[in-house]
Amino acid sequence: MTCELSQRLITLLFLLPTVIILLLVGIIPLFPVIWESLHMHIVAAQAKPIFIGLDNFKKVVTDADISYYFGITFLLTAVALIIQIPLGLGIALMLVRKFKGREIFQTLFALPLGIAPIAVGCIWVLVLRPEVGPLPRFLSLFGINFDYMASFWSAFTAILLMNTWRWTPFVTLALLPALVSIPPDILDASRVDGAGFGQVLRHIILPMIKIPVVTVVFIRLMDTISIFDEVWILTGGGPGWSTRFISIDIVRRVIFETDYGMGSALSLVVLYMTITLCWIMLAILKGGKLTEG
Amino acid sequence: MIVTVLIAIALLIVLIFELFPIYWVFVSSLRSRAEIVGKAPLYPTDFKIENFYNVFIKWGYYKYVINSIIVATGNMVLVLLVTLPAAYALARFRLGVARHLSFWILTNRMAPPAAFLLPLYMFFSFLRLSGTYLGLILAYCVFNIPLSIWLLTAAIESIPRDIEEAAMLDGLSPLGVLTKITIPLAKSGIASTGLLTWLFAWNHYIFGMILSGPGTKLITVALGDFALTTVGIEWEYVATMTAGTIIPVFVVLFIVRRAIVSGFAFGKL
Repeated sequence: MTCELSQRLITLLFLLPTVIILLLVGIIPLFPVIWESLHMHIVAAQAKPIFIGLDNFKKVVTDADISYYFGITFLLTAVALIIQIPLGLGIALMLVRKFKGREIFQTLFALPLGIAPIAVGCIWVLVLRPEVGPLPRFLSLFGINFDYMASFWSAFTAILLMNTWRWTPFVTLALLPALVSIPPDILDASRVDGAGFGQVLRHIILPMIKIPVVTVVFIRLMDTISIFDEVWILTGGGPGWSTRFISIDIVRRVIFETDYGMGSALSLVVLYMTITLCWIMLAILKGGKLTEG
Repeated sequence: MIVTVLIAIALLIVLIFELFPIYWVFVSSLRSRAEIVGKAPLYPTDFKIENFYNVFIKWGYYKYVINSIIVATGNMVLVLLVTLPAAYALARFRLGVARHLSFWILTNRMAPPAAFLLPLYMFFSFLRLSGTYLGLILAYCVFNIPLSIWLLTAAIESIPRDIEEAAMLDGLSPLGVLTKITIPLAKSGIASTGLLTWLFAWNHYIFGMILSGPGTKLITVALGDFALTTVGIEWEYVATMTAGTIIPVFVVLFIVRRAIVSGFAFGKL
């Protein structure tokens, strides 16, 4: 009895510092923001906050501009996933078999992952800007005039390219350990049985790596919703706010427009979305584990 | 045989795609302006090392590098100190609350930093912490404590329990087991975790935009400010500054390459 009690006490003491800091930076700061979200409060206007109930949240749902910012965020997320998951998985499949230099390849391949997102933006400015960039110059050889700031779609393509460059290595390297752990006999046996590669992939490989795939999909999903730094440098939300993804919108509102009321409401909505996505992910993962075991 | 050749070619193309932009920045960082704006060839043509001298010494950008080192190192030390016992408790003790705690930690990790911008700014202004090193060191805990707990829990779970149990029978206290047995055995995992948290802190931008003051400006914030205000003019210095921000990253990645190749750096997937 005393042993169990002291065990609990020790557990509590071990967890306490982490819990205190997370409360301090992750929970307590949210309370003033909940209060702000119920008010109309533009700091630069130097007016007192006016209580407006849930109007800010109503605006998050009904305002056409905000719907557009959420819309392009989800569009980018969807397209990025559709491109990066198969691409990353494909590269991982090519790396399953051991070969000379595989570790060197993996290390070099991981370099973009470690670079600060803000520096990623600068890198792609230097690659894509028509004045200095090698890519527009290369495309002009084929008569294509590529200025990424010319329209929404060119800016979107540029952001997608940058995002794929940075994150495909993550998909590959995160899926690789699970792929390597599939016993080669299983794959060989199915080949002998005359199954084509597509069938092996669908019926053997994918079911065996379901858990890491789901995890990677959700991590990429939440990361893309968070996208800010690199787009901030590359397009700044332009041309004409057409690439003002939701995080860019929040930062612009908070820092430049000092609209604390709407900024708070949007922050809380986006946080709540993340919590929901995490919850769905864990539910799927637990469901998967139950059927397996 | 043909398949092997095709795979080799495909992997080579992938590698060129991933490395060319980085190569281009380093080549550009050593060029003169006239060369950069003209039709600069793909191979290096100039070696103006004074670009680095101008930015980091003459313009005083070394101060921002020092600030970033202080904040990233302080954050790494704080995070390791508080998460080592927590990860040990989560890996070893049976906990009723563990599931809720892990979920809460996970949501902190995945939350968009932009969503924490206003909460942290208002709260830290109230505590008079904005513009201080301590404020930034604490703010980065939002994402680095979860990362560290994930990685450390995996590292501790990979150590056989028997050794710890034997030590406990010899009369060692739980804290004694943690400091004398578990930490030495999990050394490499802890080192990789520390370096990765350092890297995330070094790379972070959005909190620094609003939480760092004139005396605590970080290198990522300096890079962002410079790139946003001078793009279209001082191209070579944008490249120089970007290269300067990336170089420490490569040093860290080189040290933790084992953790990346083995998949440790990506947590328990």
